Amino acid sequence: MKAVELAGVTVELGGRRVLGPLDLVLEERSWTLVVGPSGSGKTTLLRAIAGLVSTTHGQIFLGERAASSGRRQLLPPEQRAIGFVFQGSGAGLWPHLGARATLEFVLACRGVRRAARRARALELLELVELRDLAERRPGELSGGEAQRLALARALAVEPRLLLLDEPLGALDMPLRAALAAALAGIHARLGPTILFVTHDPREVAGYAQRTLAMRDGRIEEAA
Amino acid sequence: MSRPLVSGAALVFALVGLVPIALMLARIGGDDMATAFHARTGHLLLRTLWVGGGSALLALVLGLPYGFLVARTDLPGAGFLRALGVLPLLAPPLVLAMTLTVTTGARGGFAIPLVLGLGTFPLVALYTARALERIDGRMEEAARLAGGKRAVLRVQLPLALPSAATAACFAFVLAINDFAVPDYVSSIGAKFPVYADEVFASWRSAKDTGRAVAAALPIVLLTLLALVPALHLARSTRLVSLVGDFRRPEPLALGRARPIALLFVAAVLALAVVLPIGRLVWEAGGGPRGFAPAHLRASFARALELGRSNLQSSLLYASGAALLCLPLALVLGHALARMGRWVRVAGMIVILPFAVPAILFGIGSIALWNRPLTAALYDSGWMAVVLLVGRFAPFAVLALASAAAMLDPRMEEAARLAGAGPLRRLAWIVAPALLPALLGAGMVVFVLALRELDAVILVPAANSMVLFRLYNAVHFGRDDFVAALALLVVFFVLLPGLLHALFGRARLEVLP
Amino acid sequence: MKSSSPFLALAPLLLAACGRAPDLAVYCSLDQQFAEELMKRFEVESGLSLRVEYDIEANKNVGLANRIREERGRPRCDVFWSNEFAQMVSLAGEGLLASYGSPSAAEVPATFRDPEMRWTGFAARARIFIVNTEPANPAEIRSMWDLFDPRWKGKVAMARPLAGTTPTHMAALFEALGEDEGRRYVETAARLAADGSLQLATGNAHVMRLVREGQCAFGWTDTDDFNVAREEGYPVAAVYPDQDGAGTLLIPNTIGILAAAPHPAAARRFVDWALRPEIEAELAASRSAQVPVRAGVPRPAHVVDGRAFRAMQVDLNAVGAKIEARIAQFQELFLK
Repeated sequence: MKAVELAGVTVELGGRRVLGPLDLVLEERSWTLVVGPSGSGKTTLLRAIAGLVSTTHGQIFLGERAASSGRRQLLPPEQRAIGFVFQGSGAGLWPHLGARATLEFVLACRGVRRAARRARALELLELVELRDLAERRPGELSGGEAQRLALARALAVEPRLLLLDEPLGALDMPLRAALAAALAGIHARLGPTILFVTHDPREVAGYAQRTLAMRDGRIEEAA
Repeated sequence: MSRPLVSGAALVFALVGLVPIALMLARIGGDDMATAFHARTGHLLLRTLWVGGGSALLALVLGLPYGFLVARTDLPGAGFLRALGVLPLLAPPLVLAMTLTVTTGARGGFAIPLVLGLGTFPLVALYTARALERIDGRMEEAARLAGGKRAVLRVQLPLALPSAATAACFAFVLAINDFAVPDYVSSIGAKFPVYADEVFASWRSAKDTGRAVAAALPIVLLTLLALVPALHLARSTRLVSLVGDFRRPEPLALGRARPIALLFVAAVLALAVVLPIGRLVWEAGGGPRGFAPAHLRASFARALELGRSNLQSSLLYASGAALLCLPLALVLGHALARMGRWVRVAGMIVILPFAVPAILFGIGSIALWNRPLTAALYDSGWMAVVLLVGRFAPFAVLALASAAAMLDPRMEEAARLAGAGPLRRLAWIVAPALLPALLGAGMVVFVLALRELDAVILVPAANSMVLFRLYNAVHFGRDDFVAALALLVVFFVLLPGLLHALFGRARLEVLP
Repeated sequence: MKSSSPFLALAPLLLAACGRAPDLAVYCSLDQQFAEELMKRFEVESGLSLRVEYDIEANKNVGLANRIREERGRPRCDVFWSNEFAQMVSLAGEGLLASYGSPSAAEVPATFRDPEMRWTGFAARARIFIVNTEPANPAEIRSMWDLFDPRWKGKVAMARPLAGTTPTHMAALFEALGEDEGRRYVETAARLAADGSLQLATGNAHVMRLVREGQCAFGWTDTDDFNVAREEGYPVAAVYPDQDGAGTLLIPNTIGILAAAPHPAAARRFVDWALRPEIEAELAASRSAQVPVRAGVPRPAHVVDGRAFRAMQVDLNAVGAKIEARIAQFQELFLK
């Protein structure tokens, strides 16, 4: 069953086409890698699927639901049940909220009752091995710990689709391997569809079923 | 962004800040434009440009090195000197004019930019300091490795100049709208009338407000023309995001330049701070009749006795205005920062309430609010608060816009993906991240509101304000009482900053 | 006296009046420090509560006049007490004042009363030269034209005639001396000010300071400003110029009831009270040293008798009616 379908999607920013036209189908529970040089449109692809950037042409479907059609956004980002791990250090974490508070905030947004939030947040922190650092703020976490918190935050949404934009980029080799393995474990347990952008496909090659190569905003090949 | 929330905030801002101006502009009739301008208009405007340009230049010449020294070097007492250097901006400009003319004998057309430049150099210093502190330490380290301290300075200067120029534009605006200082400074020797005199005089004979409003237009246009580059430069100086892997730069060692640096800072502070405050203390203590500590105590006692309720009123109104500005500034500032290509136009509209002469704004506010439906508001102390919000919210909005533009947009995107609606994102993600800017903006509005009288003077609540009593006391030569009251005002104007310096943890962002 | 207390306004936002509304609203441009005590006295004697709005010196009375004009759609003011007459005449000309012949004004000379009884003058200030007796001999300064004597080049002062009593004074010269002589006086002043021979001060109080501190030998000011310097022991004297000629201008306080006053009965009571000789006596005895316009009003020795010197004979209505045009003229001359 299709988790995501892109049909003839293009994105123009500042009058310049940065993505597409492209067609793409991701099956449910699949793990797809997206590789390509800088500026090839990988991040734009993820942001378009998440609804953080508007499409110009084409349609995006999430499961059976149309999420966007041309310039019209039919499903806003907050209703797409997408977990997103942003690129770069900091990863868009909230500097004033500790790890547990970060997850509780997301759970509150998802309508989880107050009584259940703390337990669920700690569960998620356990999942990413941050339980002992529950009260630390992002500024007090190392690079790897911050990325794991970002992952936990993405998972707190209970996503059908997990978009990861070079989540391992800022980490050293041992950490990358550890985080990749953790991600694989989460994928096996929770089963979200994963779209994983990376410069180095080797770090997760063993886990992904498919690799897309992008160049100049288009998918060149699929493997 | 929540469209209803932004629309609501925009409506409130328009009501308190823009409608009074629109009502006044609507009074300009067909003949008013012709009769408002005369053969002397061009001449007065040229003098005004001289005053504004000279003041801005002096503010730049003093403020740029001052800001650099207190923000980025190992100058002894830099933090204290930085706070002290703000004082000239907070004290009434006329106090500076009176002390400088008496002590230096400076008069006439050359002295006016001297006084106004000294009064506004802190703006340039503040902007310069902020810009230099936002340079990533690694940029400087790279420069040092390439060419030592000189190379560092050559990296810093181009990065600080746009900010300093922004502040110089603001200094220009303050200078061209001031009529009291040119009037006073040139009262001995050849008179040096400026266009602000024309505006002031128009209202003196203003049965016909349309003509008076028309007469104000050139200075409003000049103000806006100066603010266009200021806003543009302010936007272009957002060098780095402070959330993420920014590394604060290390202080530069002054080495053998330290004595010269200290001398420079001391000279500036002597002229701009020590002299005026010293004179006020001297006046409060008896002045030309002979200074006596007992007289000083008596002056303060009398100032407190007579001025206590006025001080309370002013503090209350200023605090009320500061508090009410904050939600407005948060919503509109955030919206402005995310606006895209309309941000320039929006910025110009936002600044309008401050760009028009105070009396025009005051009379427009009467025209708007003195109606049966809003009678209770007009007759109450809240009218002063509403007027102050209208007049000074632009500063708060622009300061928040500047800070919001520096926020990592991914923070809000992540919250959005988590399911947080616009209000929730604003309250739980944006506002906490902008806390330093909110506190800073609140403080600026408080300070400006406390020393404002010209716009508020026409509404009933003005009578209870401290500057009202102070200006009236000046007329009757109650110099000791006036000086003591003026010192109290300066103290309360400084108080929020002092309290924050002593007890606050968050770094404040005060500048638009 | 009910002032605009902010603590009342801290009650629920946009409330209607909290507590009792005042019985009467007075806009008063007489200096607050003199007027405040008088207003309290009225409240005690009459049992009426007042809301009083003052002006600041910098606005020189025009702030309140402008406010009265702006508020005509919903008048808040019952009585306007002005410390001069030009703005009062303007307001009368615009139909904003009611006609009322107060019994208390019976002894006020006709020159200080509006023929249509829209305003009444009392407790005046004289336009005098304040002279520093150390550089100058007051006996040698007798005429308004002495201001332009080259002997005193750079040592004489007047306020710029764009605000306050100075434009009123200059406008009165046109009535008293005729159009040509009036223009000659003002044009001479402007010419000398332009080259620094005549110091143009920011106001009458500033002239007083310049003279008392010796920076100038003498200059135009009002008797209330002169009295401040005198009381503080400075070496100054007052000269009432042109006793052999046009005379010295007296600028009275004026009081009028607004045509649309919300409380007309209370307004008349206040006007009757304010125009009593006792109030004129109070103002004469105060630091403002106002000159009684009526005969027989008690005054301290340092306050001159209004009949003891030659007062300038001018039609105050005529001066006030032309004040806007005159100010425009003065702008042309002094804002070059």
